[in-house]
Order: sequence, then C-alpha cells, then structure tokens
Amino acid sequence: MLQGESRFGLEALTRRVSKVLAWVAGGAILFGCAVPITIDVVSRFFLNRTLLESFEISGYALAACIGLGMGYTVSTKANVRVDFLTMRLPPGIRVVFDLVAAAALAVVAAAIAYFAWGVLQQSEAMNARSMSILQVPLVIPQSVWWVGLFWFACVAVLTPVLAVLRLLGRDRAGADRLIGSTDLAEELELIGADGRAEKPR
Amino acid sequence: MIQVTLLMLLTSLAIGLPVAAVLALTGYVLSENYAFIPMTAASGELAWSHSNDFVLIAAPMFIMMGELMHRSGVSERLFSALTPWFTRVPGQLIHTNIAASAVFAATSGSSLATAATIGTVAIPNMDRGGYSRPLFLGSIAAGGTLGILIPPSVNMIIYAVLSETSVADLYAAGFLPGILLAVLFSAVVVVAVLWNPKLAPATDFQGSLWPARIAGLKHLVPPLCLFFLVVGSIYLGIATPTEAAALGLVATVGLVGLNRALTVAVLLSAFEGTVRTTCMIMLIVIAAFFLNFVMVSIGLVEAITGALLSLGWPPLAMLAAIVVFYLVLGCFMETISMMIATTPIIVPVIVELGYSPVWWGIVFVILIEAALITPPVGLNLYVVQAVRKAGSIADLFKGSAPFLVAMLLTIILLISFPQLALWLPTILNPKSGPV
Repeated sequence: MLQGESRFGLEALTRRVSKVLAWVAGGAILFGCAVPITIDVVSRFFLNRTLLESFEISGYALAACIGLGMGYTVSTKANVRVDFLTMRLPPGIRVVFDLVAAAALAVVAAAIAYFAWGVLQQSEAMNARSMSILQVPLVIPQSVWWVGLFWFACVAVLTPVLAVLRLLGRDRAGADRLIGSTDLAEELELIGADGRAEKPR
Repeated sequence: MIQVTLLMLLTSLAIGLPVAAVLALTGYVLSENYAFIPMTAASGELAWSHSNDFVLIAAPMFIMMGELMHRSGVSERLFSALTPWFTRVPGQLIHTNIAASAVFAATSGSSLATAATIGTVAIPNMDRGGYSRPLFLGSIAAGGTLGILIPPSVNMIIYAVLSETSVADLYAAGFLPGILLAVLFSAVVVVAVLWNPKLAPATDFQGSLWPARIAGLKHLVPPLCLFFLVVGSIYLGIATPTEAAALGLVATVGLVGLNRALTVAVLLSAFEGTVRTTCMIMLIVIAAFFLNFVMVSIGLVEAITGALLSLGWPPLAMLAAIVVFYLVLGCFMETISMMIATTPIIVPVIVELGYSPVWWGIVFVILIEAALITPPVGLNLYVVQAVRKAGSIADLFKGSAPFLVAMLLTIILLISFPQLALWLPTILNPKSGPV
C-alpha cells in the first residue's frame, strides 16, 4: 500500500532507504542485544564469568537501533498524533493541520540531529572513552547513532516538502499518503494484524 | 506557569501535532521563558544517555518477541488445547478467548499483538458456534489487554524507567491482579450468559472431555516454558529483567524455528514492526525526559504537586479524581504516549498522597487497558474489527462495555486491598524492601 506508483523517485528512494535502515536497526536488537546478552547470562550461569561485555555492547546496539530506525517512523507515519478532532474537518482544511504537524516533527528532528552532533563533537574533542574494560571510543557508537538521526532529520524535512509538491500537482491522495493520518488498514497491515499474518507451517 | 503549560500542551495536542513534537516544543518554550540558563544545550546528552539505557533495551526485545510469536503458529494450538476445558462452562469459547489471551499475554508484552493473535484464531469460530457477536468480540478485545498486565509487559518497562521503580517489582505486582482480572472477565461472561442464554450455545455436551484435555496439555508447554524462562529467571536471581527479555527473545526465535516458520521474510517483517514501535516510543520517551528535565529545573513539577495538594482533598478523593481523569483522557489519546507524557507529573503526586509507586503502576496499567477498549480511540477495538473484516464496529463498542466494568472493579479492589499487588513483590524480592 505504501509503495504506490510514484512520480517522485525521491519519495520512493526515501522509503526504501528508511526501510533498509529499519532492517539494520532490527538486526541490532536481535544480534547486538539479545544474542550477546544471552551468551553472557548462560556463561555466567555455567562458567561463573561473562564472555562478552554485553552490558555495554547492547547499550550501543539500542542507540544504533533508535538512531537508524527513527527515519522509518516518519516514512510509515508511526509518530502518534491525537487526530481525533482534525479527522472530522473537511479535507481541504485538514491538510493544513497535517502540514503543520509534519513541519513540527521536522523542526524537532532537525533539532535532535543538531544536538546529537554536539554530543559527537564533544566526545571527539575530549577523546572520550567508555569507563569499562572495553574502553570504546564513544565516537564510534555515537557516529552510528548520529548518522541515523541525521537521516531522520532529512526524511522529516523532506516529507512536508514532498507533500507540498504533491498538493501543487493537485494530488491530494499522494499528499495524504505522506502526511495524512494513518489510515487504519495501513496501520494494521504494518503491525501484522490484517488477519493474514499468522501462517503456521 | 501551570496554566501556560497546560494550555500549550492541550492546544498543540488537539490540533494534531505529533505527541513527541508537542512535548519537545513545550519543553523548549518553557526553557526559553522560565529557565535561568538555556536547557536545550543538555538535550543532546539526555538523548544519548536514554538511547543506551540498559533497562529500556528490554522493551524492543519484548516487542520483537510479540512480533515473532504472532507469526509463529503457537496460538492456534494454544486455542484448541484450551477449548475442552470450557466446554461445560456457560459461554464456552468466550472463556477460551479469555484464557488463551491470558496465556499468550504471559509470553507477550503487547496488548495489540495479543488481541490480533487471539482474534485471528478465534473469530472464525464465532458464527459457526452461534455466539452473540458483541460479547464474543468484546472478550477478545478485552482479553487482549491482559498482554500489558500479566508480565512481561512493555508498558511496565517504560513506566519503571520513567518513575524510577523496579521492573522486577512491577512484574511481580502485576501477576495476581492479572489473574484476578482474567477471572473477573470470565465471571462477567458467565453472568451474562446465565442472564440471557441466547448469547452462547447450550452446554449440553455429553461424554468425557478428559482425553481431549490431557491431549491438549502438550500445546501449553511452549508458551509456559517461555513464561517461566522470562519471569522465572528474574525471581530465581539468574537474570535481570533486561537479560530475561534477551533469553525470551532468543528462545522465541528458536521456537519459531522449530515450528518451521522462521524465514527471512518473517524475520524482516518482525524487524520492521519492532523498529517502528520502538522508535515511535523512544522519540516520545526522549522528548518526555527533556520536558521533565526542564519542568523539574524550573520548579514546575513541584508547583503542580503543590497546587494539587493545596486543594486539601483527602487522598482517596484525589486518587478517584486522577482515575476519572485517565478514564476520560484514555478515550481520546493513544495509550503509550498518554503514559509516557503523564507519568513524570503524576507519580510525584501519587507518592505525596502516600501511595506506593509500584502499586500505582499496576492501577495505571489497568487504566491503560481500559483506554484500549473505550471508544472512540480504543485501539484494541479496531484491531479486532480489522481481523474480523466485516460487520459494524458498534458490536465491539457494545461488547467490550461489560469487561470495562470488570476493570473498574479490579481498580476498586486494588484501592481497597493494595496487598493484591504488593504482596508478591515483597515475597519474591525481599531485598528491595517495602515497595
């Protein structure tokens, strides 16, 4: 549903990149958090010592997941809005509120990427390392985190711009797909509740 | 200051700005107008420190567990295993819905995943068996909400981080109220069916059900093993809640693999679902931490607590007012954002009133469950409706109302007997002292 034919190559590209980053982000949770932590718990139980520094690694994996996955929340319209009132407005007025909402998210996303850049720069200037056996230079995990947040800001800024272009091209449905309220069918398809999800064997 | 904040929050929410943006922008405006030094400079560090919070790691792992369980085929067997146990109870399969939800909830931290999973399996039996549609569907929507009360629970992890309580205490505290609520749901069904026998088919089955009951038990083994792995490892002292979540996720991947359902496509779509939910939640969490940081620095949290306490209401009246406030707010606001946005403000008030924050966490989760099945924005109602794909959503509005009564009753019982929630944590985690 989200991959509808697009005259805007940029729009499709943005979605594609966000989705691939979401796969990486999900992989970070499974292979960067769950697997190392499990190895450590099991080895602590049987060998009385941990093999990996999973406590630290998993924190970086979560940060990577949050950074890299954030753009996907924009391209799938996951960011929760109280649209109970605006949904009752006529479409012509509603689209104004949708644009304002998308712009507000863009401002916040840009601010987060900006302040995250500050964190990264400071770690670099101070040559900060984690206070642990690993002594990881914090620049490494923070760079991954920041790259994701930078992409988040790009998608969040691009989305209302693309929506305005759609509106100028008199394509309200296209604009709605970018910034409108999540329609229920889309939402449920994404959480896998469309009744087709469960296919045992 | 309180009025300005409240006005700004409510207006920007009502015009449909994203909740995360509302919180972040309110924090910015407050910091610009009331703080001595600009607070925004600290926001980068705040974002980083919460991005790698070890307790929060449990949330995406439990979300992924639910995503995979939903696709694993476990629930069909669970449903058929539980069915013979309720064949002679008035309401029959409606009780199976509730029991299957409760068992599934013990392996899943999400109400939506629970309702979607049980709904997919249960709904085909509704018309075939001649059940009252509203009651049958309502039991799935309401039963699904048990996902966040019976541990593990994603909501409790986030509540724990925001309120600085222990996840282990919250899980222990949620267990008995979870069972109690499931039993009350069933009681509601029995009363309704005895009142009006047309709501469910007659229970005139002859013969022995025991062979089917015994044969089905093996299908209960995988979910119960997962539950004991995830919850047992915490209370045996083998793992912290985050570590338990990791064990649970790895075991779930194994279980899905054993069911031959583990494909690259399944894994990737579970990743997508997990990342979407996790990042949506984390953006709000980061924004809420920033807003809370500003509000504490400028003395706003203290001012709100003071203003509420200066009303001089007795604690019970204040508590009742807070409960009503959440019941109303829950009709209109998505639940997880409601929880994240209000926890930092309401928990200090609750503690000042002399209540335990762990106990309130359980009452709060039940209020959130109520919000999930109250129209117009009760998400569980729409999940079940979407699985059903036909008929009117009004069936769900009508059918979930009796279960709302059971939730309110549980809250009243918890207020009257706080030990319902607080007894297990003191037994299981004696080290953490009184909660």
